[in-house]
Amino acid sequence: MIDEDILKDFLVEAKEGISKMEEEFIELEKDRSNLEIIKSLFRTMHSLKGASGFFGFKSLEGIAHFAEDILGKIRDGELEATEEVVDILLRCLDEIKYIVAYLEEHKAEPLDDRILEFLVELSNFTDKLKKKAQIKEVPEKVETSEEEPKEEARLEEKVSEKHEAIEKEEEKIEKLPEEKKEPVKEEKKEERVIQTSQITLTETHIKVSIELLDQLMNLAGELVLARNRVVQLANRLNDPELSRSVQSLSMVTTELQETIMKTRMQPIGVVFNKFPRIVRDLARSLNKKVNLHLEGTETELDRSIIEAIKDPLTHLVRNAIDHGIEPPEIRVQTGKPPEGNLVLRAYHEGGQVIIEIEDDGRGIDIEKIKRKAIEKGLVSPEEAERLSEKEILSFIFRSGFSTAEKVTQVSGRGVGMDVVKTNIEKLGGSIEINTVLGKGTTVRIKIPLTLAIIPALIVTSHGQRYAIPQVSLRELVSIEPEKDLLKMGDTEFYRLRGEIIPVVRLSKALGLENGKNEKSLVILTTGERFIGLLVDEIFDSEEIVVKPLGKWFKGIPLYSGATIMGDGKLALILDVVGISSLAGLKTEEVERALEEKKVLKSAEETQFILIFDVGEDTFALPLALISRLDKVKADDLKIVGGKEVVIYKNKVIPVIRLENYLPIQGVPHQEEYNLLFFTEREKTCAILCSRIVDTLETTLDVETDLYQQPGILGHRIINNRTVLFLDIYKIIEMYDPEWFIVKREEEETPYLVLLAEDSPFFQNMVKNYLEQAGFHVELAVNGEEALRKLKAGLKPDLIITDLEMPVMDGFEFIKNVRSIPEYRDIPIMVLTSLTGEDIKRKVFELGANAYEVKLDREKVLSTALELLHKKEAERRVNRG
Amino acid sequence: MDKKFYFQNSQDLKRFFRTKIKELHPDRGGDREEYLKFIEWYQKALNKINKKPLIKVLKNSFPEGNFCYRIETFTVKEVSLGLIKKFKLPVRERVCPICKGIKKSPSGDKKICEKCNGKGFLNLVNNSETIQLKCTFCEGRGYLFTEICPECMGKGKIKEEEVLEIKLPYGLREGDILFISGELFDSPWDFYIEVNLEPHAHFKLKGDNLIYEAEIKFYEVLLKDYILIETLEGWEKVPSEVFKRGEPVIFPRRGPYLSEDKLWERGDLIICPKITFPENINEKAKKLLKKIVKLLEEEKNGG
Repeated sequence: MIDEDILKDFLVEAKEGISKMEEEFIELEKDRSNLEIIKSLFRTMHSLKGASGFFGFKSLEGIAHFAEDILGKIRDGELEATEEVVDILLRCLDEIKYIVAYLEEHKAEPLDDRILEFLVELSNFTDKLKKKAQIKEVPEKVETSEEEPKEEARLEEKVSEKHEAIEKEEEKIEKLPEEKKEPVKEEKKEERVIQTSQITLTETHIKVSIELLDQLMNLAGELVLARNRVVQLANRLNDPELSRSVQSLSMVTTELQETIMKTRMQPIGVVFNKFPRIVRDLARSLNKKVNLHLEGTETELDRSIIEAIKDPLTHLVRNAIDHGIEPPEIRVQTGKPPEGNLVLRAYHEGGQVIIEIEDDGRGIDIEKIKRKAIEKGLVSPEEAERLSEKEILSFIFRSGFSTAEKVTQVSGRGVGMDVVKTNIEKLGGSIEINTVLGKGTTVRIKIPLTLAIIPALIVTSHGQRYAIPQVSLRELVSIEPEKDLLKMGDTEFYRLRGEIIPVVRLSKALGLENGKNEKSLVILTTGERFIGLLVDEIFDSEEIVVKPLGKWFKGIPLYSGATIMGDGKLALILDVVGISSLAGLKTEEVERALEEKKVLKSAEETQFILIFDVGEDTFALPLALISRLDKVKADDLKIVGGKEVVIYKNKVIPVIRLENYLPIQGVPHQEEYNLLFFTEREKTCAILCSRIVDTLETTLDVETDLYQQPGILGHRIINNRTVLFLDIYKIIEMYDPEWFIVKREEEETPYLVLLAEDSPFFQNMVKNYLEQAGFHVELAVNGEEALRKLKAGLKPDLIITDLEMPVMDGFEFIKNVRSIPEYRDIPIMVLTSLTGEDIKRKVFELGANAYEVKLDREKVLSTALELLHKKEAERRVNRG
Repeated sequence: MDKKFYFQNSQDLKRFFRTKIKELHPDRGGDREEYLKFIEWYQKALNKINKKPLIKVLKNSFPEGNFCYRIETFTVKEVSLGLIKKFKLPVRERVCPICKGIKKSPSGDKKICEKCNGKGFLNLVNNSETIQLKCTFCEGRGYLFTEICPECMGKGKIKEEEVLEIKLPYGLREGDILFISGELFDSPWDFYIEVNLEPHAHFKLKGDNLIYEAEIKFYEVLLKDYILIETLEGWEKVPSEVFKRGEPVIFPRRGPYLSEDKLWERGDLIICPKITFPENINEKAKKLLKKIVKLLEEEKNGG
């Protein structure tokens, strides 16, 4: 049942103790009054007793107990270390040795009668010693043991046992002086001595000082460096025999280094497993119920780090139980199960080890910390208001800071968290707190896996070599920077299987000019996100020995260390987290710059547009307006009743020739024409054109000054051609003024619509079709202007707004409108080309009443009417 | 096979197998696929059980590995008889239902995504051409959640608890640890449950035996034919005769079961009578008592 590893540890310790005690007994023989030796013996025996008791080795514990008892008496001066006493102690040691040897072999205690006998003998011996001290009390003792039978379980048996023991004892007392003379007993004793003293304990473990291991590690590091050098030389010489031997040298070196590393690695479970006991005891003393979860106990860490985090961890666990987890009654009141949960978790992330201490207790009250910080004069009240949650939490790490109302035995003395922080930072780690009031706290400790030797990728920039730790390496991509990199302002991005990754040029990060041959992209991960690092060249992956940087370089986030390369030259080790912070910062700055630019420029909404020719002229239309594209033979066009029509899918569809409405040359005769179909309210018409040129995704920025005539919204130069943007609704209206008219009953005063839209194209188009439908339209080029118009006294029946606008966007505009009471019930329709559930949800959250896509005229109008009617109805209800 | 079937020992599993296999057998109209699947499941389950004990009693042993450690209260009866006890244990992890694994609170504060300025997409220029791509930093939402998910505390996962019935192994005592292997329910961690015995009005476990402290009023032994005593199997009538000597009465092999390796061996139930006397009695009762004493003495002298 007992775990093998722990048993092994115990045996190693026991054997050490035994050999130490053996030496000390020899010393003691020389000088029986040496108290120091007695004390040391007592301590060793005591810990042996404790450990064996823990494992449940009853006889071992028994023997050690008696021996400890005797040693204790000698120490306290109650007993003299006579030959007889030392003799029995030595016999104890022999028996212990025997049992330990047996344990090693059989993993269980020997069930020997001899040991039982020896225990009885020991018991008698100590009793005799006791009696010596209080001879007269002996008879009374017998009586008293008879007097208290009630509470004993097996009363009769017990009493009789005691009787027996006492009888035996009495016998022994008589016999003892004779014992040595008795030949039979003497023989027996000799037998035992022979049996036990022959046992020699074979060592399976030895203790080695950490210093020695450190030294070994350093030497291995040097060896790796030398090996790298030799490998490089061998590559240059290209001698097959040399290459072979270098190869085997290389392998052995790697293996050696790994083995040495292993001597230092230990699973974190070694520390974690101590916590059940600590948690149990603490919970008991605080009257709390705590469940403990351990996760990732197999995570390996350098032994020295494990030693160093033991105390900080214990402190954090104590904190969690004392401050975090509430007493069961309070937990039940707040709807939690009475048992609190404490999780200790360890895992690897981005070349670091993360340890989390998580509780589901009351969490940390930020306000309380703020108050305390102000009270202590660490921060002024005004400053405190400005601080972020994280910054406020960091006060916890100030020395002498405690919000505990009363100092308990466990925590609240204000020492601790600062010590915890310094200890973690000493290891090169960091500590972070996440807390949700009423829900719990998570303390996250990040510790670097500061391994002395790590595999790394060597890259170059401007001829200099840099090493990138392989743990943070994701993949390598060969790219053409000009073609493959996407730009936003000055920041570059790379699209890796759909993921957009910010790119950092190593040369730029180093403050140099862009490299000429920057074609290799190294994708790195920080554990949270990816970044691309563009470098000149990629060399081999190599094992490098990490050398710490001097203090002058410590502050540079870009480097985490240095290493010596095979040719003896230095290479700096890049810090991936540092580089990623560089990438993050830059994009933010670019964004800010873009933001400023945006005020001047129109928002960049893009649409797919269809470009087509009508004779010599080129036109453009948003693709979304067109319901269908098709080709027809010239023969299919018929004139019926003075109107040109086409029979298409068993329907008669009127054909519109643009030249009839616009001053253009028109479509020359062709064998085949292209038709663009428009469908609206089940009415379809088609526009005749000679050729479809292209479709293009672009913004709808158009110049409106040159072509000011109905049917044209504006023009723009695309691929060196002037493209006219059609106002298709106007054209159709010109073709048939009745086309869009919807018979509306009880036509009162026309509704007033406030339209906020920045793009002239949409301004015209939407305005046109709204006016066709009988609305009055008031235009505003952005949210701010619209708001100004409202404030100037405009009382629209409906507000239609775009989302993407300069100066004040739609979101902001809606928010503003809804915050003014008198406009609160003006219905707002959002008209946008942005689609997406999230945006839709957002605008509704802000208070919009409808959400439509710009190009869906029919839907826009029906929704507008719907909103207006609803408002009418409400007004009527309110009046009534 | 449904994962809900957990078996602690091979007997139970075999019994289950025998009944179930009859239903599933193709000759009896069962589905062949299901039948084969069941056999496969059974063999796996059997292997698992036979490999090592999945539930055991640990005395003075350290837990190790990944585990959940907790203290549970057991009744004397439960541990003595190895009854079936229900535990609510966090068996596995699943994606947090509130934040769907994004670790941030979807109903908390948001901030506009810095990368796309809240648009949800990025306008990137490549060779003077603009490409619009969904922003991968905010997953096209246009904003980022800033508060950690209160449900999973920013882990993206929560532990799922399940009520499990465990037949307690014999031999559990106060302070022992009940080990339940995670393999039993395909849980990634083991369970170590420290035993905390609920104090019982009469029962007390001592070593291998169960002590019953019977409070008996001084006259009861004389007046009653029997006295009601609670045993592990229920209340029992014990002739008052046996208490007359005032000594413990032993019910052999009626105590707790000893341990798994000493199967079916039981300790003793030891009934320790505690004769109680009323604190005060009134004059009338005292007089009557004196009378009784007189009568008894007369009888004694007479006899």
